[in-house]
Parts: sequence; C-alpha cells; structure tokens
Amino acid sequence: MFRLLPLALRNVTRSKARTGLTVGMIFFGVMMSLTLSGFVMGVGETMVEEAVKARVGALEVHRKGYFEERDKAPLKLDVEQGGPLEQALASTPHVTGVTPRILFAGLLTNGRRGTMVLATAVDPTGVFSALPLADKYVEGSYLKPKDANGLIVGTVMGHSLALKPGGTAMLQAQAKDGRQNALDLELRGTMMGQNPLESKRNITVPLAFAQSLLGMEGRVTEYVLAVDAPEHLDATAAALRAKLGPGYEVQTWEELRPPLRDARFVQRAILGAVSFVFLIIAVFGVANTMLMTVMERTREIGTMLAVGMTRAQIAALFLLEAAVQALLGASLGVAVATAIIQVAASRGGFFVSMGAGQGGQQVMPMLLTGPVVIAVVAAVLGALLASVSPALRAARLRPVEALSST
Amino acid sequence: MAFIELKDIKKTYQLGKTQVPALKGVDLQVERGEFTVVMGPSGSGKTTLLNIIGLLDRADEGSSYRLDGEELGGRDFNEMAGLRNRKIGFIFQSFNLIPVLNVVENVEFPCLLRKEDRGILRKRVLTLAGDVGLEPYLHHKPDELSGGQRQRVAIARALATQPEIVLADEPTANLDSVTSEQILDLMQRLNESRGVTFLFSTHDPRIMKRARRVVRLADGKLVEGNGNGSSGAELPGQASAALEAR
Repeated sequence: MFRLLPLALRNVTRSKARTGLTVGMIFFGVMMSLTLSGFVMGVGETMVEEAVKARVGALEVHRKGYFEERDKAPLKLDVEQGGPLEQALASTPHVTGVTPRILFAGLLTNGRRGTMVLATAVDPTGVFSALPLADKYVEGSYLKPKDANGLIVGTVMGHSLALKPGGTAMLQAQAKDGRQNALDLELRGTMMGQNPLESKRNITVPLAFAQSLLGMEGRVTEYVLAVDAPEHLDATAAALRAKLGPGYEVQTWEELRPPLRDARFVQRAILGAVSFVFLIIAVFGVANTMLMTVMERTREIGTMLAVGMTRAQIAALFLLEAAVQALLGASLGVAVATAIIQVAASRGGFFVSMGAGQGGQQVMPMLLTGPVVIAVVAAVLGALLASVSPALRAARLRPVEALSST
Repeated sequence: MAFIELKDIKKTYQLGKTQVPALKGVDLQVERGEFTVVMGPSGSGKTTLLNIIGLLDRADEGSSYRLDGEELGGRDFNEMAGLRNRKIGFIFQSFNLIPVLNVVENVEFPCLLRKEDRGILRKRVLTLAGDVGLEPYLHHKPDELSGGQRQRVAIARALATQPEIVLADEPTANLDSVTSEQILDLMQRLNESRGVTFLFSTHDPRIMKRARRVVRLADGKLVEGNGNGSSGAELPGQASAALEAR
C-alpha cells in the first residue's frame, strides 16, 4: 500500500480545484470546530477555574457525616484548627494550599430589617493559599489581615439591606452550645458575579469573628484545599481518603457543585454536537468530490486494473488520496484555529458579563490538546468513511467496462 | 501444445433483455514468439477476443483458454489481476498512460504492484526506455509527449513486466502513417529480439503486411487462419491480398 502513496500524492495535486474544494471543506470544518471549542472551552474552564479558585476550592475536607448533619447541627462535627489534620492535609502530594473555614447560618440585620444568611468564615490572610482568587470579584475591599469584624455581602443583599462600605450590621447566630449570640460587623466590600440566590444569601466574615460569635475558639468545620493541577484532582482526593481514613469526608468541587459540573458537561456536549454538524457537512462534501473523481478517472482505473492492480489496491489508492487531503485540510484548520485563538488571547481575551450589576469575567480562549486530536482524527476518519463508497465503486469496476469509458 | 490455446470460446453480452453474441465458438492456437494479427470488420469480435485472451473479460461457460498449458478459465478477480500483471502486457489504441506519472514512472508502474527490487527495476526500465527511443523524455509527463512517443511509453510499459504475451488493440489507429511505421518497426524488432508473443487487433493493412500470421474474424467466428501457428499461418502477402479483396 505504501508503494501507492507517491501515486496518491500526485493524484491529489492533479486537480487543484477539486483538491482545493475537498481540503477547503475539511479545513473549514476543523477550523470552525476548534475555534468554537477554543472560545467555549475558554468560557467553561474560566467559569470552573474562577469557581474553584475564588469560592469552592478544589477539595473540601470535613468530619464524617457533616453533610448529613449540617442542616440540623452544622457546628457539631468540627475539627481542631491547626492540629494534626491540617498538617496531614498540607503534607499530601499535589496539595498546594490549605485553609480552614466555618460555615454557619445566621440573621443579618441593619437595625431596621433583617435577612437569613449563610455565612462563610475565612482566615483573611490564609484563605489565599487555597482560594487565590477569593478577593477577585469584591468591589470595595476584601477582609483585612487580622480583620476582627469585616463583612462581605452579595450585591442583592447589600442593596436590600442598604449596606455601604463602612456601614454596620449585626449578625445573630446560634453558638455551638445552643445559646444565641450577636456581634456587630462592618461592611468592607460587595461580592460581584454570584448567581442571584448566592447574592441574596451569602456573606463572608473573618474566621476569628465567627469563632468568637459561635464559641468555637480554635475550632473550624472544614478545610479547603488547592491542588496543583486539575488532572491531579481525583488522584489527590483518593490519596486523601486513604490517608485520613473513615473519620473524614473528602469531596471534589465536582461533587460539591454538581450544577457547575453539569453546566460544563452540557457545554461540551453542545460543542461536540455543533462540531459533529461541521464534520458531517465536510464529510458529505468529500464523498461528493471523491465520487466525481472516481467517475472522471474511470478509464484510468481500467488501465490500472489491466496492468494488474487488485481491487483492494484500487480502493486503497482512493482512500489514501482522501486521507492525504483530510490530513492537509485538518492541519491547516488546526494552524488557523491556533492562530485565531492566540491572537484573541494576546489581545486579552474577551469579557463575559455575569448579568446586570454583577460585573463579569475576562475569558481567555484556549485550545486544548484533546479537541485538536479529536478534530484531526475525526476529520481523517470521516473523510475515509465518506470515501469508502466511491473507493468501492472504483474497485468494483470491471476492467473491460472501465477501459471503454470515455 | 500451443502456447495460447483457445477452444470453443463463446461470449454473449446481455444488453437489457437482448442477448448479443460477440464470439460464437472460436478455436485458436498461437505459438510462442508469434507476431499475429487478428483482423475483421467492426463488431466482428476482435476486441472481445483480445479481452478474453488478456484476462480482462471472461468467456462464457464451456469455453477453454490455456496459456502455456495452464487452464485460465474460472479464476477469481485477483488471480486474473496477478496473471495479467505477470504474463500479459497491454498496448491500447488511446495509449492509456497515467497522466500524473512521468515516462519512467509509467513504464515501471505495473512492476511496482509486485515486490520487486527498486534498483534492479529502475535499471531494467531505463534500458527498456532506451530501447524504445525515449531516453530524452524520461521525466516528461504524457501530456508533454507526441502520440508516437506516448505509444512508445505504452510499449515499454507493456514489456516492463517481462510478459509472455503482448496484446495490442488497434495500436496505430491514433497515429499518423510515419509514426505508425516507426511503432510497427519497434514492435517487430522487440518481437524478434525478445521473443515475446505479439497479438494485434487491427484494420491497418501495414500491420498485416508485417504479420507472420493473420487470423480473420467475422460475425464472432474465426473464418481464416484457424489452426495452430504453423499450419494456419498466413503469409504477409496472402494477408495483404485478403485485405485488398475486402
């Protein structure tokens, strides 16, 4: 078959218009699919990365049973801050940051009105080791180091309680021992880019404040971890589960935020479907031009059969020609898509709004290896598949009939 | 036993609901090294006969075709392709060169289909190209050659596989008279020097003048020159007279 390759290459160059059409269709399919993938994946990965690095964290570690108990007694299953657990987490391979948090519910009032809130208490300095983008969407300022009473609220809550930076509010909550307690907070900033429910319900306070309010000095309810690379996420989670034993729960961001995971899945599925449509268009184009090629070269096929080419060799020749054109088109498609995405990235990407008044995100388009490999393989396989029928048509010609064609 | 031995060769084409008999029982023997012409009017079955001898087409059931003592009927497609490649060379009226290949590549193309040493092959092909007078045009594509030069390439290609028989279907029909003479000279010289069996179909009286033997087909039957090569051979003069009588 490799002896046929030089002939296949020559045949590819013989009709520049036809080859141009075939290569062009494959090029268009691959280029569109990859460029689209670059932008959509950019949005998806940015969305995930922002969520993981700004809010959720790559991994969360709790005491066993925390998720079942958290609505009834969220503070019951707590752990020691800075103890052996924290050391064990920090010394695990691929873990690049560890920070403690307390999650609790309370009532935030401005003196006239109050609202139920879900509070996240963080260490204002240490939080950045596990959530490096914790302050990215904060308008105003973030919690200060050793902040004793700082408060970050969502835009909706800030609006409904008429809170402005420097303004005060009181947070009332049930302490671990069951008694009610309340302390004053001072608004530092407003969190942008949250979904409406988060924006209406979520607040962030200093860890020391929460420990004082809840009577939990030296105690926290969870640890948030950063992992060096997304591909190490599952392995690190598994390593932690093995290391910590049955007394603890280790969860990845995908398990903690199913909607985010599902959104990414849906996004990729839609992208796949659109790419498939581009591929189908290209494949039909290839099938059509290959059929025309076979019909035009019928007499030549007759000559090749006469001098002893087998049917398999005839079919292989046309399939090789299709594969060469597909590879050429796909390579050009990858090159142009890469160039488009690099130019877009070098200009700072593009801005995606999160909704009115919620700010937005700067998204960097990215071309991942996976989609490139899939696009090239799909283009070549698609072109081969499209050429099977024309190639078989050529191979099934009877020499006498092929030779007598005009 | 004759080199080519055809017995009761019949071929019927199905055209829609009509059966058209092209050959109605042809018996023919050709000896090794003969320079034989098959003549006859259009539609007499010349090309069909050559196609069957060249294994491009199959005769009907009951026919027998032996080449060098080997029965060739009933072979499958790939076996027939292999036999064509090893034993038979073709020269067509329209040259049928592969347009994307140059002279050398066209000549060596049939040999590439079998695992042959490239160095030895290239040497043989260059010798052959020299024999047919194509040395100055080795890297020319077919569309850069004249009709006569193209037919020389086709002759070289037909001989490149070192076949036992070369079949030429109206090889001079598309050539002018001077070029035709040159091509005929060449084929005759190759027939004599290489001992390859040549079998032509033609209307061209010049070919018949040169033929050692002429067989005539009419209406799908052999009407003249039947029998084996020695007993049925027609002399050139007789062949020419036969043609003039038409």
